[in-house]
Amino acid sequence: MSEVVISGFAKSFNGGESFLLSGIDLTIHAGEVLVLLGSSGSGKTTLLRTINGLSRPDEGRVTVDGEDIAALDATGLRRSIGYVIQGAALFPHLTVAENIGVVPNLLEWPPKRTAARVDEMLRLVRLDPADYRHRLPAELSGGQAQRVGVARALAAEPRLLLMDEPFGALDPVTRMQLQDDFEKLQRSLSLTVVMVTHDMTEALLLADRIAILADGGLAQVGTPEEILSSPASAYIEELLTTPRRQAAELKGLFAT
Amino acid sequence: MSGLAENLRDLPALLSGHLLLSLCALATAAALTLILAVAADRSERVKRISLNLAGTMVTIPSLALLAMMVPLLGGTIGFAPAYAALTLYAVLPMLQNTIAGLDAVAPSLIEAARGLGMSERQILRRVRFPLALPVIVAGLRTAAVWTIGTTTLATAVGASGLGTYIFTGLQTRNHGMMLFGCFFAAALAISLDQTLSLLESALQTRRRGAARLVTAALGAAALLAVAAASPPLFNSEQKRAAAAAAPPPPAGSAARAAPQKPLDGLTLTTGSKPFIESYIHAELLALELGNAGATVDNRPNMGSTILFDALRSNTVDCYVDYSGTIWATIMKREEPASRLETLIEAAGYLLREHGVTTVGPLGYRNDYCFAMRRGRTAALGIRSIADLAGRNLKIAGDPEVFGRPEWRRVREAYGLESLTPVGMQKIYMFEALMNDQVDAIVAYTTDGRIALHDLALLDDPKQVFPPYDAMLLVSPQAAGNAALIDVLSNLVNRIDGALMRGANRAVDVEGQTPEAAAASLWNRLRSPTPAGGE
Repeated sequence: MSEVVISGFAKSFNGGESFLLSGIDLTIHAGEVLVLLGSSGSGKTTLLRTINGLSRPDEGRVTVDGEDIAALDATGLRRSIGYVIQGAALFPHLTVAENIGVVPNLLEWPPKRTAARVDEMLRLVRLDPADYRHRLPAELSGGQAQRVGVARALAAEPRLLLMDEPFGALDPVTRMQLQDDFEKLQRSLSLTVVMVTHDMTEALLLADRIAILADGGLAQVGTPEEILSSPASAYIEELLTTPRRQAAELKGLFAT
Repeated sequence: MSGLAENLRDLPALLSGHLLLSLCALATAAALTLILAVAADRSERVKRISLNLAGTMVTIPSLALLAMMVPLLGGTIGFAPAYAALTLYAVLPMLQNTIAGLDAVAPSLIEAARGLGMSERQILRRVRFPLALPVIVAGLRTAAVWTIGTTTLATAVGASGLGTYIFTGLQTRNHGMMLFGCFFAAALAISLDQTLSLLESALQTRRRGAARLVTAALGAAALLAVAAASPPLFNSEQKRAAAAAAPPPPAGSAARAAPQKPLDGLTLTTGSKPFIESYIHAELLALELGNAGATVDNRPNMGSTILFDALRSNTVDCYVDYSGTIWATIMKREEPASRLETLIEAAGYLLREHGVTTVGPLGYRNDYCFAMRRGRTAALGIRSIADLAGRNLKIAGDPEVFGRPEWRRVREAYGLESLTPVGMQKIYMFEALMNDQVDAIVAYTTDGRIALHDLALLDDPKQVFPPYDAMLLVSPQAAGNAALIDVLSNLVNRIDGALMRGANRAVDVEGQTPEAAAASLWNRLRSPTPAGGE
């Protein structure tokens, strides 16, 4: 478990003239799933990438477990944080096992330990090691690739996991399965998770807390219940229209 | 085919020389590419500059790049300048593909690699390089085929290779020899390309064992080539040592054992330019020197100035050039002079400016001349060059002729502005004339085809063409060897125009090898009946 504190954060896209994001103060508690929600261009991915140092803040600072990440070795920091990106982005020239073993290899684990960990990870994401270990990414479906992507992110036992639209490009059935599995996984490993999405339904289903980004700042931070019961603005109210209508329609369908 | 046995005899040396040169250039270019690509990856400026430089190399015609390397390397001929030029030439396709391949890797993969904690160097080595490999190998294959082909031109700077068959075959109208060279050059290019494609698919399918096998095979080929080509490679070093250490002929040599020959143990290098008469000169020198006990390393088909550069820097020991060529090309003299004046001034200039000693003239001249078909001269009423003035005729000559000051002078002196010059290889000139595609040609007085086709030579009443006496030259270092000069003196003033024309004709018309024609010429020189003057 890890705690992430973002304070006084600002990010400019033109060297300080105008800001993509500014005045962000956000604490991600150890063991929670925090969903960063916003439309495209809202800066949610930038904020996520700041946590593992892929993007540098123009103002403010980010600490992980009390340590300012600006003072840490960037590659060392990233190896200790899990990172899942949209479409899995598996290395096409490496097998499933080699993809999952990337970070253990960078950390120079003994090969035996890595191999054992790879199998463990495959079982964790519910893929049969014997069947999948030697496959190349081209031989996987989208859902399987994303599972391997999650396994790769978790292989070196991170306590913090960053996920950038991990279920974005999947068909609805696969997506539901993965979301389900993800919830169980997160609880069993008591991971701290920061997940980016633009899908309010997904946020409501998976988040312990949701942080909504709009107009260059945090529009509201709260549990799904708080956001549903008292949306802080008309924009957030609008974001809730779709999940509410879906819920109502489904309820109607099930009632008949 | 009569020449097949002879072609096969030279094949091991020429093929291995060709392969070795190509492989060395490719390997160096690959290493250079790797270094440049890594540097270019870090800096846009390095990328731009290195791509531009490599691109510029390729815009230089390959023959010119080869020729440029000779003076740049201080007159060295053979392997070194060819290797340098071919390496520079091979960098572009490899560098372009390597950079393009590295740049083409999907940004999402680089983001993932960075996010997982790879350093930039690890991203390059573990992600971008392996993913770019097919594109990189494609560049290597392009470069390989390209290099094998260009290596055929390396004979112009005295490097051993299959180009010898192609150039000599072309000049001596030996199409079998030319095709022989082309066939092996093509076969070499195809096999290298296929080997590299095996390497590529082995890397692609991650069969490391297969990849190692292919790499080992390439290495073995290189080693074999080294083994087969090494004598000529090391010869030049031995030769230098030998030439420097050659003792002057001992005063009491009569007291020595009889079988002692004056040039025993010496390795000497001679060379020729790509035309029949020059081949015969080189073979004649080889016979004379070989008879005196020397081992002769003959570098055929070299560029005219390259051969001279090699001589003055002691890389070539002796060869035959022409007083008119020295006069116009090296001394840059414009005005013509008498035969004797040209010869003496050229010899003095060479010694003074370049330390090159003239052993003496061979005894004949090979001047430029205007030749036409007899029927044509009669019909047009032409007897001398002056009669061509104001006529709308086509005249063929080798491209070099029309660039020389002599041509400018002839045109001005006789008012030949109305003539249309057509540049073509010397060997096609006579066909063009006999087929009436051109009306006249700029030929050479010792050409074997003048008599064959019974051509009329036009008078040069104003004596505009300078005399081209064949003169035997030795390098500054070789000039210090009195025994060598003594042996070479046997050839001075011994060959008249008729003898040389006969030898040229034997090759050009009767299909003899230059070696055979030189041998019969040499035997005639050694027979008791004197050759007679001009």
